[in-house]
Amino acid sequence: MGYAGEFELLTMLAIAQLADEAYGVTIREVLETRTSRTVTLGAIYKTLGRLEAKGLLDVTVAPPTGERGGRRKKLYRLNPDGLAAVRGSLSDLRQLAEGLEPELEVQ
Amino acid sequence: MSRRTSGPPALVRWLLRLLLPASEREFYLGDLEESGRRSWAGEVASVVALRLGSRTRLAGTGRAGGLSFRVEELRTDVRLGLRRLLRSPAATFTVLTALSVGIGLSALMFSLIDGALLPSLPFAAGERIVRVQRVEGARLSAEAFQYWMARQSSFEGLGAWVERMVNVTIDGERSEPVEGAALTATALPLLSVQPDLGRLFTEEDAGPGASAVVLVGHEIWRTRLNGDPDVLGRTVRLNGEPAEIIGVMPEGFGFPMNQQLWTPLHLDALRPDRNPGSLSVFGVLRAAVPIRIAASELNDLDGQRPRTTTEAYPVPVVVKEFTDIINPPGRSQLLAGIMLGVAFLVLLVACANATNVLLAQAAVRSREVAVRAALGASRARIATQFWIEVSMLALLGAAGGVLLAAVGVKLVRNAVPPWLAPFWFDIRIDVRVLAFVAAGAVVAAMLAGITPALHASRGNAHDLLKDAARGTSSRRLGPLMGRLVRVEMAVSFVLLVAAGLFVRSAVNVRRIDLPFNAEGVYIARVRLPDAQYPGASDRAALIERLEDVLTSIPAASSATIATGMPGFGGWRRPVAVEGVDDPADPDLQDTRYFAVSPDYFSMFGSSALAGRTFDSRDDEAGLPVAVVNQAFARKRFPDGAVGRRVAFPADARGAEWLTIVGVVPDLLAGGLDRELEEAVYRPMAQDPPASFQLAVRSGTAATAMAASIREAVAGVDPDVALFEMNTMEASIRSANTVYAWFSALFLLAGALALFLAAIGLYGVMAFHVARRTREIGVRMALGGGRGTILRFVLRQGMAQIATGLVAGILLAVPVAWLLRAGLLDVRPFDPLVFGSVLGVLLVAGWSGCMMPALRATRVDPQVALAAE
Repeated sequence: MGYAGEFELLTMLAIAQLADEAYGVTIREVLETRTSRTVTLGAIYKTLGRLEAKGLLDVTVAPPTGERGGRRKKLYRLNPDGLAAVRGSLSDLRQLAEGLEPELEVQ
Repeated sequence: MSRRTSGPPALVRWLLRLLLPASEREFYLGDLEESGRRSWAGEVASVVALRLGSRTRLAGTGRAGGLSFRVEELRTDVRLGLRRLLRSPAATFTVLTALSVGIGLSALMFSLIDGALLPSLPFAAGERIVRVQRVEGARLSAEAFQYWMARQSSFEGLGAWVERMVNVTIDGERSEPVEGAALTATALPLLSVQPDLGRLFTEEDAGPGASAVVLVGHEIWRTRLNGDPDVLGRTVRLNGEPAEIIGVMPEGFGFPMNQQLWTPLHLDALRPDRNPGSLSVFGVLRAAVPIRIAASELNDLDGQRPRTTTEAYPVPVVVKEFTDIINPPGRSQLLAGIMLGVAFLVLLVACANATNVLLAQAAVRSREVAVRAALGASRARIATQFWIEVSMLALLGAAGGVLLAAVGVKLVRNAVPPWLAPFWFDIRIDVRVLAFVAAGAVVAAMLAGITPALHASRGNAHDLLKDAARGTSSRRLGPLMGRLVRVEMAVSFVLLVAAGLFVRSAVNVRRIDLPFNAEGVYIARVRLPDAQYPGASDRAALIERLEDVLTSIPAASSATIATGMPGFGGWRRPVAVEGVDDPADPDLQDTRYFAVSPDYFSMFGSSALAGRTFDSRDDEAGLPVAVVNQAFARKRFPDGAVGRRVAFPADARGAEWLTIVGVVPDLLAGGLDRELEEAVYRPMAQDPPASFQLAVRSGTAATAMAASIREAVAGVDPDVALFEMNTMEASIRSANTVYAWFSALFLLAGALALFLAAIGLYGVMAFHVARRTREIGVRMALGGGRGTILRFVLRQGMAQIATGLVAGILLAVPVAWLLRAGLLDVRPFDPLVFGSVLGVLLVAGWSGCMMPALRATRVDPQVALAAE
């Protein structure tokens, strides 16, 4: 298992937040509302493609809806490998940040 | 009524489809649609980045690509380019003007074509909505319509309408005329349009014994009904008859043209004794059924329909796009093609011009290039520098072009009177136009930039430095610049010939010799309220009194009343000729029909060619009579018309036979476009109409008559409304503004091309003279007189112009031939047009050469020789 990049980690966290409803639009919503960034679908798709290739995501295709102009959507879930990757990355982050709380103003 | 849905614009969708891998496309586009309005540019850019791989910066990932070196280079080039552009303001200005004009005109033409010439109706099935007509506007009967309705398979459905002017009275206010249409119940559902309030018509509304209902337009609802939300169920009076409002149509809806009032069309009641009109028919084609197939099906059905006549009826059916309103069918496409061609040619001249200026610059800069090359700049690097400069010019030019086009669009919108513009006209600069302009800028940059860039980067540093030292680089560029001048001249010639031909057409409209004297004539239209004048005798009495008061206006020398004045076109009615036609045939040929008062012919200086015109004998009690015009007599009675009989089965009195008592000259019965010129005139007393025109001739200024006429009419009945009051000449002309429109367009394009070509020529000649100062100095030092030098420079310039003009003539001939369908009374090879264009271009070319040539003669040999 490789390392997850920062945006990959954010994307996986967003997918975890969304449980069964994670696809392009909702992932972007979560990223944009919970972080301070503006994200394009292109960036999300690129990252999702990479995560899929690394075998960290399970993908299912949901039936079309009217608001999508009759197009289907791809739903993503973290698989056990994906969950492990998130856990690993987060613990790396925590360990690295340990002791820096006063400077980083992290509670 | 919104044309676009909320998803990404078509251009964005198209780009994404192109860029995205097939496996991801559906999901991505779905997400995009679902997430609503966004910065589309950002989305497209991120997908481009996705496709290009990870080297570029990917928005949101924070990863920097490895392109920083190239970006730095680019920045330097842009800075350098800007500095250069500012250092030679004249050249920059010329190139910018040329490109702005070229791109601006292209964008304007594109907007016009897209919004006015070839738009589709703003409905779901817009592109499949078609008109069904008979050739040359011949009559389309209710029988034929119903026969098709029952049997056709090419259309999702057919609808029909009859246009009518309606006097609308709301709450007893003064009644006002409104353009309305009676529609079949099928019509509005076919358009899939929903009312803002209330409901559409049902089959029952058009059935026998149904109570009168009406749909009103948004405009009427807002202005005359004060936007009343409880308007449903209110009663208004239409031509005096009460009708209940059942719905309000959405804003901007004006089907079929710009109507604001709709009533159910009683097809079964459209009996010959009820309605003189012909149906207008439209349909929605089934998906993938071509127009051609639909037309041939209707023609086949016509052939199977039981016939009652021996003549070769019915007239063939044509099917064409609904918005294609210029006759004949296909004319709109032709005009669109012409307009795009014109825009392209102007863009071509603009690019040639820009290229020439840039070439001249390149020549001047050859030393700079040589130094850079000697210092180790690669060819690619030098060419890139030129490209960047040109691209910056193109971008600025495109911006200027959009600005010019925006101004043009505004002017055009102001120039089209609202009553002339159908409801689907939507002239504006939209995304597609912007895309078109962007493409124009790229093309312009490529065309204008490629040659100087190649030239600048060609050859080795040594040669370039040598050239620069001797000033000989102009010799290498000279032939190319000369060729470009020839191209400009040739294209300008073609454009100006086209412009000239259209200007002549427009002048012809203005100059059409009216075959009658319209001077000092004031006209107005009158629609009698049906309820107050229900019977023929009521109307006859009123018309007689109106005639009396009008002729007794002190300043009036004569006055007349008729259903149509000369030059306006009369009603179309199917006519039966005794012994030839069966009056019961539903597909009789149309003629123009006029009911006129006895003074009609004498007022317009016309008298009988055979037999007599009308007089006091021809009253209600007299023998039913008619007078026909020459066109009618020639077509239907080659052996003499007087004494023969005709009938109008659609007449209120049924198929009464009318005896022809006279033949009169043609009085533009078909209007200025001379469509259907055959006419039959009846004495007004024998068929008094409810709607007519009145005309008063006066020695005094016609405008002064307006008040007198109003006063006189109000004295007879204050409830009789007068509308469309104007001088006769102005009214006739205003109906024929199309040619003026197009001639203005072409004249503008031609003038721009000429302007650009003249600037270009001047620039090139000035450049030549400047570069050859040394040679001229030598010639003068060796004893060449001023005249010799002048001739020397002029000869060279005029030789280029002459070959350019010859090429122009050769090109203009086929172009003029293609244009012939759009011209009015002008031969495509009109010698006046060709001659004057030739003259104008020669003069422009000559003066372009002359100024630099004169400057050359003022060269002081000593200064010239020291010039290096």
